[in-house]
Amino acid sequence: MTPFAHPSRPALSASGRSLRTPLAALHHVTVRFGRTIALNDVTLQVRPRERIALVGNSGCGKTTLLSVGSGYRRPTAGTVYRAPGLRMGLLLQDPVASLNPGWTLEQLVGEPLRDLSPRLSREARAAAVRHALLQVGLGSIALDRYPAELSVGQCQRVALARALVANPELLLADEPTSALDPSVAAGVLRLIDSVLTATGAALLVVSHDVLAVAPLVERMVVLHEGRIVEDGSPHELLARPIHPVTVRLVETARQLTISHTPTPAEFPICR
Amino acid sequence: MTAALVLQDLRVIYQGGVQALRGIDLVVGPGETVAVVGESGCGKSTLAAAVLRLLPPDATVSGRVLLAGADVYAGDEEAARRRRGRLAGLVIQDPMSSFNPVMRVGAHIVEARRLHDRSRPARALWPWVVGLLADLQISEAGRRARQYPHEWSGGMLQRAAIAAASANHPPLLLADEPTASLDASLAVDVMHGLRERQRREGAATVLITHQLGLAAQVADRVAVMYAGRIVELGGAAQVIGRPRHPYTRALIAALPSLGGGLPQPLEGELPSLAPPPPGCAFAPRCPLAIAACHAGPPPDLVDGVACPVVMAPAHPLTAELCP
Repeated sequence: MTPFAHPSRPALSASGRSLRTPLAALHHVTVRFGRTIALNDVTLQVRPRERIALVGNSGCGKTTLLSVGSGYRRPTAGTVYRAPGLRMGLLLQDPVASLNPGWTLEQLVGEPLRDLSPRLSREARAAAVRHALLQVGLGSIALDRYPAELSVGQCQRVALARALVANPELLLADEPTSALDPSVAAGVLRLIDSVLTATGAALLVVSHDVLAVAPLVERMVVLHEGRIVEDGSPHELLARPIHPVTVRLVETARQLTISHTPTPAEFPICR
Repeated sequence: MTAALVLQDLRVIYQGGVQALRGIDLVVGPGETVAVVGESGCGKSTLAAAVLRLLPPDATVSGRVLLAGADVYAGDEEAARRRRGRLAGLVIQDPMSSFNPVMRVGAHIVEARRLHDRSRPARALWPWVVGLLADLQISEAGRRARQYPHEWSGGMLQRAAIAAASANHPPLLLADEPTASLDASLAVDVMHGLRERQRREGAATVLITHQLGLAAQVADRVAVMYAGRIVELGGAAQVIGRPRHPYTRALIAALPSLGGGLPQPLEGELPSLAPPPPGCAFAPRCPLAIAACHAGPPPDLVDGVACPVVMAPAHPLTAELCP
């Protein structure tokens, strides 16, 4: 027996949780909207530091899964577990629509702290806002600015800062780049990656874009008609998809992928 | 045969001095599909509005726009409206709001056709509507055509909007991000269906999109726009498979790739166009820029590329890409 696996001293996550105890878990969860079954007997666990992508076509149930996992919606059947005191951050698809236009950056980014840490002092809250903005590369931005004064890319950074301000152990992201230009999306993906690496937070990201999220995660779960139809590493799924739905997703991704040419910066001839 | 669309030195200046289009030259032949690609704010949507004479009244337009040989900016607004309906169809990004909720989806398409051509009664057009929807991958098109808009998904309505826009066989179909609300596999199928239909009818398509992968799949030619100008223009396989302009190369590097790592973001922001910077507008973000790039008039397209630096015969990139 190696000392690393001693049962009485399990490895701990950054926040002091055991790496083997899930942060959140869905156990045989079913969600019905009238006659429509949005989720059908889904079981899924997210462990500390784990990065999972939920992929599938429109209507497959992936956003419903996210809303049940976050506690926003109750399942019709089955149980949802969240670790006691679990801190979650939420990043939505449309950065412009998800930010209240009448609020300053300080209000927008600091708002989650009002619920999660209501007893925080004004100064401590301002410091947390500053730190979150620093994490997303907006360290020098004025806190009294409004969303309309920012570019779309900056808005998505602000939305990410808002998701990070309470130092979440689990980041939930719903199509975080699909409303963005590819040139901006690439920057947001890199930012999410570096923030997760720095903070050790786990990720549950929902996307229909297999290509965009694959390099971000270690596990991909394919949903179809409310059921999990395939589950594996992005490498396995992209190389050897089994379920017809996964085969189609990967085939389309392959069709739409453009073989990479080096950027001008990568050219040896750059002056 | 007359070109479906001719743009000659098209320029648009908005109130406040924003030069949104700065000298666009483009010819789209009958049956051809040309994709116009670029980031938000590059002028793609202004281009679509300028082609249809749908710009706000405070915009100043110069240059020429010919739709199937007819000058779009000749005559008054009423004449322009009639001509537009006959010569061009428009598909916008969000079709939800353009459907009357108490009218069957098929009836919308019949109406779109009969608005400009009353030669056939509505009943006689029904089989044609069903065929059109089937071309656009609507299953059970016969039953579906009799349904109301609320019974259709957003993706299906987007296809109905494409059907309505091409219903009276305009020589040109302008589609502004027509597949943004569709899943990728469906987007490819819909665009292939549309392209085949347009080819059969000898009608041209201008596809405005930021999805380069889709453009590579369905376009004959691709025009890459940056800061109100076309910076690269050529066959889709050439422009996307072997891009030469530094901006095109950077755009492609920003796309996720199968089995690759995280893509390379394009650093910096679009320049202000009120007024635009001197020289090449991409120069401030361009790793290949030399002093000459920051001065003088913006470079023109030469052999389909508006970059004298990479196109200089001695440039190693040119030697590599254009042996």
